[in-house]
Amino acid sequence: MSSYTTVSIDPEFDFDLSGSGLSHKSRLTSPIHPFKKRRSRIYGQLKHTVQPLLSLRSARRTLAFIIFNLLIIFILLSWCKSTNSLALRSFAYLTVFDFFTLITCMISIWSTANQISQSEEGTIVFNYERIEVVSVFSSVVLASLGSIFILKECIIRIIDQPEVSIGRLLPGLLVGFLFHVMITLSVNNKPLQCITNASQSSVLQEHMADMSQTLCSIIPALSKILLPRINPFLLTSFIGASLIFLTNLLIQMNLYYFADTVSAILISTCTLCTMWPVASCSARVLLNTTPPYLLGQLDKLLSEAQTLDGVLEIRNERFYTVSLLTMVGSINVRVRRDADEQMVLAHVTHRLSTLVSHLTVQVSKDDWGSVPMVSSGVI
Amino acid sequence: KYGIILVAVKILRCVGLFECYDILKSIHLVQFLFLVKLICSGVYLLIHKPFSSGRKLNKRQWSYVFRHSVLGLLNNVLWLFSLTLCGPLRTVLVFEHGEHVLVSMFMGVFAGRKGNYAKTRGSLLFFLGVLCLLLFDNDDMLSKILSQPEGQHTSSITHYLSAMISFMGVADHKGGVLLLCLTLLLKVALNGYTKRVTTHVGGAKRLHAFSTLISALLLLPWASLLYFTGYSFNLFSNLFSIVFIATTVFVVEHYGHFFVSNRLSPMQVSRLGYFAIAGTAMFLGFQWSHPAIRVISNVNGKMDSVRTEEHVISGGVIVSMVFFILASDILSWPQPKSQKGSFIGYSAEGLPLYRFAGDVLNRASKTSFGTLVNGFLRRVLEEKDSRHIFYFLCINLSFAFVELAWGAWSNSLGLISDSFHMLFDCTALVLGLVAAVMAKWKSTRIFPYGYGRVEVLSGFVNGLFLLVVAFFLFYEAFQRLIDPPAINTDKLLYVSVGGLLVNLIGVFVFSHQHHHNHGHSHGHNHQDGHENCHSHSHSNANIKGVYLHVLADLLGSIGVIISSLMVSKWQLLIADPICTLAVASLILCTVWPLLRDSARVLALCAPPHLQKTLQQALSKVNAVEGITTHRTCRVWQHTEKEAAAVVSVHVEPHVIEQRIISQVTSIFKEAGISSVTVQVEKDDFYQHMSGLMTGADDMTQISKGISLNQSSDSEGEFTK
Repeated sequence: MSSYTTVSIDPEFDFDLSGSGLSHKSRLTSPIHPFKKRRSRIYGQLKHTVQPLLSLRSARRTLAFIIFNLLIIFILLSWCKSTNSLALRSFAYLTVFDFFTLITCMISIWSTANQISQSEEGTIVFNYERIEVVSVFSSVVLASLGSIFILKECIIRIIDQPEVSIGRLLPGLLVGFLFHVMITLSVNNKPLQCITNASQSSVLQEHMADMSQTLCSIIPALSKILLPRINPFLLTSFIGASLIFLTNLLIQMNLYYFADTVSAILISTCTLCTMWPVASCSARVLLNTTPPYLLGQLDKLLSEAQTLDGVLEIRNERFYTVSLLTMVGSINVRVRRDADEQMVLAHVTHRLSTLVSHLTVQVSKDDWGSVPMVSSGVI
Repeated sequence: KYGIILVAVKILRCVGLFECYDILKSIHLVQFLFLVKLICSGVYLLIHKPFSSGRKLNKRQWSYVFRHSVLGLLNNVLWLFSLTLCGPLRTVLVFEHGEHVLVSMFMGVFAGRKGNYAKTRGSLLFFLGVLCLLLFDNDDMLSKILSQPEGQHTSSITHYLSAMISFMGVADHKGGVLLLCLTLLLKVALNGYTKRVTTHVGGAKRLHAFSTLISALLLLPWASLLYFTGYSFNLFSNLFSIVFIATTVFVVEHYGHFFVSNRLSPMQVSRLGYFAIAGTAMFLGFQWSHPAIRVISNVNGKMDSVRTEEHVISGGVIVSMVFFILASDILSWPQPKSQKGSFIGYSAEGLPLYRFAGDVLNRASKTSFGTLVNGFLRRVLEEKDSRHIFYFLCINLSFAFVELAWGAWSNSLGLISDSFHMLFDCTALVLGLVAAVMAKWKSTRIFPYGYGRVEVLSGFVNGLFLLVVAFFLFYEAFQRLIDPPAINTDKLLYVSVGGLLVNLIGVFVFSHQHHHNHGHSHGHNHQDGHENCHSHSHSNANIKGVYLHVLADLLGSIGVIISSLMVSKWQLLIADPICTLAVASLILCTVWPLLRDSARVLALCAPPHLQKTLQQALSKVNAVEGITTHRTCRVWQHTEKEAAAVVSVHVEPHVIEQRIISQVTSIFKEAGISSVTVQVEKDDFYQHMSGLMTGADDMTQISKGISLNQSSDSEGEFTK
C-alpha cells in the first residue's frame, strides 16, 4: 500500500487533462463515432500528448492491436451482413467490446505516462485513475447496450424469420473467438482486470464454478485452471462460440433458421449477465461509495481511533474509492478542549493509513475562542 | 438389486405406453380409460380389501377421496389425450419425470434462493428440452392435421381441447407437448394433495384403491353413453391388450414404485426410473412395429394403410432427450444443505458470525407488492422532475401499446417493430425516473455523500445509449447508401406524425425544466465558454439525458416524415439513408456535451465554471495570516450542483487551528463549494508522524511534495 501520498495541485490543470482525456478517446473511437469537429480543434494538443506515448513499447503494441481489431470488426460486420445472422452479430459485438477494452488500456497507459511526467513538477492528481474507471464503465455499458439492441431485433425476428446463410458462419466464429481469446489473454489490461477481480462473479461464473467443483472432485488436476473462477469474458465467448456452432449444425441439418434467433437471444443474455457485475462494480466506484466489504474494517479502525486520548467523537466520516486500489476519505474529529490537535491528527492519520491512503482530518474544538490557547509545544 | 426391479417395471410401463398409443387409435379415450380404471380397481379391491379392513370412512373423508379421484381423473384424461397427440416417445420424455425432480425444479425456479445454482441449471435444461421439442422437431404433422376430418375428435372434451390447440396455431404434437407441461403441473399438485390426504384416509394404498374405484364409477355413465351412441367396439379383440396396459402401465408400476421407494432414496428412484424409461422409449421409438394396430386392423377387416410413419424420431427429439436426461440428472443430485448463511457481524473475538435460518425471517419481512408500488408512485409524484418523466412515460407507453395493437390487428410488421422501438425507448425514461427518485434518498453508510450522483450516472448512461443509437443509425445508413432498398410508405407517415406529436409534448415539458430561458437551444452547447457555464449551473444531467433522448426521437420522426414524403413523391430512394445520416449526426452533436460534462463529474474533475473563483480562493487562502502554504487542495463536483473540497494547509507553529479552519471554510463557501474539510498541519504533525511511522524518510519526502518513488514503481509495474 502506498504511503501517505499527496498532492498539490492546481485545479485548472486537472480540468484540462480530463478534457483532453476524453477527446483522446474520441479520436480513437472515431471510425465508429466520428467527432471530427472536436478532433480538428485540438489537433495540436493531441499531437502533443500522443507523441511521447508512441515512444512507449506497450503503447505501440496496444495501438497495433487496436488497428488489427478494427480490421477484424470490419470483416466480422461485413460477414454478418452477408450471412444475415443475428447470432454472429451478437458474437461480433464481443469483438467490439475488445476494442473498447483496448482503448481503456491505452488510456491507462497514457495516464500512467502522464503521472510520471507530471510528478516531476510536483503534482499528482488521482483523477487519472478515475478516468480509467469511467472508461471501463462506459465500455461495459456500451457492450451491454449493444446486446440489448440485439434482443430488440430478435423480437422482430421472432415474428418474421428471414433466411440465414451459413457459409460464413464458421469462419466468422473462428476469427471472432480466436481474436477474443488472444486479446483477453495477451493484453495486460490493468483497470479492467482490477474491476473484474473486485466485482461479484456473474451468474455464468457461479454456474461454471459449481460445475467445475464437481469436475475437479473427479479430476483434481483441473482445479488449477478452473477452480477459483474463470475470466468471465473468456467464458462468454466460449459459450457464444459453442452456441453458434450448434446453430450452424441445426441449420445445416434441417434448415431451422429459428435456431439463429434463439442463439442470438442466448448469446446476448450471456453478455448481459457477464457485463452486469462489472458494470455495477464500476458504477459503485463512480458513485463515490464506500465498498461494503471494507465497512467492517473501517468500523474497527474508527472505533480504535475513538479511544485515542482527547478524542470525543468522530463525525461525518466519508470514505470512497477513487479507483479500486486507492481509498480516499475525510472525517471530522471533535476533541477535548485541552487536547493537542496535532497529536490527535497524527494518531488518527496513522491509524487509518493502513486502509485509507488519502485522508483529510478536520479537528474541531467546541468554543475555541473563549479558551486560552493550549501550548503547541507540549507533546 | 432393487434398481433392477425398478428398471424392469419402467420398461414394462414403457412398452405398455406404446401399446396404449396404438390402442387409442381404435378406441375412444374415455371408454378406454373407463375399462382400464375398472380393471385396476378390481385388482386393488381384491388385494387391499379396503372396505373390510380398517375403519369406515366418514363423509369428510369420502369427500377428500372424491376430490382426489377427480383430480387424478383430470390428470389422466389430459395425459392420454396428449399421448394421442404427440406420440408415446415425446410423452415419455416430458411426462415421466419423478415428482422429486419436479419439486426441486420448481424450487430452483421460484424459491430463487442464492446458492442452488445446480437447480437453476437443471430447470434451464428442462426448459431448453421443451423448447427443442417445440421448435426443432419437424414432425410434419401440420399437413396431417389439416387433412384430418374433424370427426375423429368426437367427444366434447377432446373436441374442445383440439379446437383450443388449433386455435393457438401450433401443430398437434406441439400442442400435445404444451398440454403435457400443463399436466405435469397438475401431477405435482396431485402428489401434494395425495400426501396431505393420505393420513386422513389411512394409508396411501387404501386411498389409491378408493380413488380408482370412484373414478371408474365417474366414467361409467359417460362411457356407456358413448357406447350406446355409436362408439361400440369389439371388446374381446382388444381385451388382451387392455388388460396388458392396465397391468403394466398402472398396477405394476404402482406396486413396483411403492416397493422400491421404501428401499431406495426418492432421488435415486426418480433418476434411475427416468433413465430406464427414457432409454426404453428411445429404443422402442426406433424398433416399434405397431403390433396392436396390425391386430386391430386385421380384426376389423379394414386394411387401411397403417400409419407407422407418424411421430418418428427426429434430430430435435434426440437433442431434447439429451437435455431432459441431463436435467433429470442434475435435479436429482442430493442438495447439499444450504451452506451460505447471511453475515451478521463479528463476534467479540473478531470472528465472523453467520446466520443460517434466514429463510423464514426473509419471507416474513417482505412487504407486499401493492404497498411497494404505492410508495414508489407517491415518491414519484412528490417531485417535479420525476412527475414529468412519469407522465411522459405514461403517454409514451400508451402510444406504443396502441401502435402495437394496431400493428397486430392490421398485421403490419413495420408497425409492430416500431412499437417495440418505442417500448425500447421507454427503458431510457424508466432509467431516468428511477434515478430521479433515487437521488432523493438520504445518505447511508455505503453512500456517504447521498445518492445525488445517481442522476449524473443515469445521464451518462443515457448519453451512451444515444451514442449506440447513433452508431446503429450510421451502420444502417451506410448499408442503405450502398444499395437502397425499396420502402413501402403506407402508414409510415401516420405513425411518424403520431410519434412526432408525442415527442413534441415531451420536448416542451422537459425543455421548460431544463432551461429556464428558451434562448438556450441545444445547438450551441458544443462550444465551450461562458454560455456553457451558464447552462451548466441550471441543468441536471438526468433530466438532460431524458430530454436529449426525447429530442433524438423527435429528430428521428422528422427524418422519417421527410424521407417518406420524398420517397413517395419523387421516388428518391437515396433520401432515406441521407436523412438517417443527418439524424444520426444531429444526435451525436447534441449528446456530446452531455457525455463530456457527466464524464467530467464522474471522473471527479474540478468544476469548470469554478475555475477562476477557485484560483482566487486559493490565493486568498495563501494570504490568510499564519498559513505558510496549502499542501493539498482537491476540489471535485459531487453532483452538478454541489461541489466538495478537501484542503490541507500548513501553518506556522503559533496560530490557533480553529480560527484557520473557520476562515478557510468561509473562503471556500463563498466560492460556492458546499462541503469543505480542512486539515491544519504544523511542523509538530510531521514530527509525530515520523515518530509513528517506521518509514520516516518517506514522510519527510512526501511532505516536500516529492513522490518519485511511488510513480516509478507504478511505471515499472505497468511496462513489464
